[in-house]
Amino acid sequence: MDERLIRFTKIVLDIMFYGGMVVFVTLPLSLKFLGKYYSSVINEYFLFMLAVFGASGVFGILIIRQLRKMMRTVIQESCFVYENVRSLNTMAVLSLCIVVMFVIKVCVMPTPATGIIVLVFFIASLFCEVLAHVFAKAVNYKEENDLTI
Amino acid sequence: MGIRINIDVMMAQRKIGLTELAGKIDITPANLSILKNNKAKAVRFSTLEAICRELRCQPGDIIEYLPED
Repeated sequence: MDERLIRFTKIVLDIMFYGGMVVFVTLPLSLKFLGKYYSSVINEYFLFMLAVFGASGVFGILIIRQLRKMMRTVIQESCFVYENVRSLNTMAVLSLCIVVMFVIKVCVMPTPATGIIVLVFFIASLFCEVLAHVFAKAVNYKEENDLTI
Repeated sequence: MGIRINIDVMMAQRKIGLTELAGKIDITPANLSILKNNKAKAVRFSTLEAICRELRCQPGDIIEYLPED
């Protein structure tokens, strides 16, 4: 892969990571703002929305953290390591956590967007799990190749 | 694993060092060290052939099977 593309992806992930933290910290304020100017339903379910978005935000930030860890190994040109298999497994679990949060939200406040989020993260979770298996196989093959003298 | 590499014994008998042997069989000293310390998962026939040629021995002299109890 092009070196510049890797660097660019790393920068995008860094921005998402720190941007996500800012969004998480300012979530109560932004929800209040949205409740005032966008939809009064947000004000009605303020604590519930704060809990759902707050928890999902934490899970999202943790997913990006794992991605940043993986990108670091890509930059160091040693991406076929078990650490990345663990990262993919962790991301699968975190995606499922987001699915659970939004399923709860669908039950209380059903919207088409929430349904789509549930579907997207459920598929992301499945893909992460499958990729983790593929990666584990690749790491195994690489180790065998490295230890063939 | 039930396979033990006795290359160090043979090297001592032939009075040859790790770096020198690695140079003669055209592999890195690090890889030869992996082999010597029983950390290798497989040995190529070409490597085995080169080792046997340089140490003037048979594969059985450097590879030993130990039954696991």
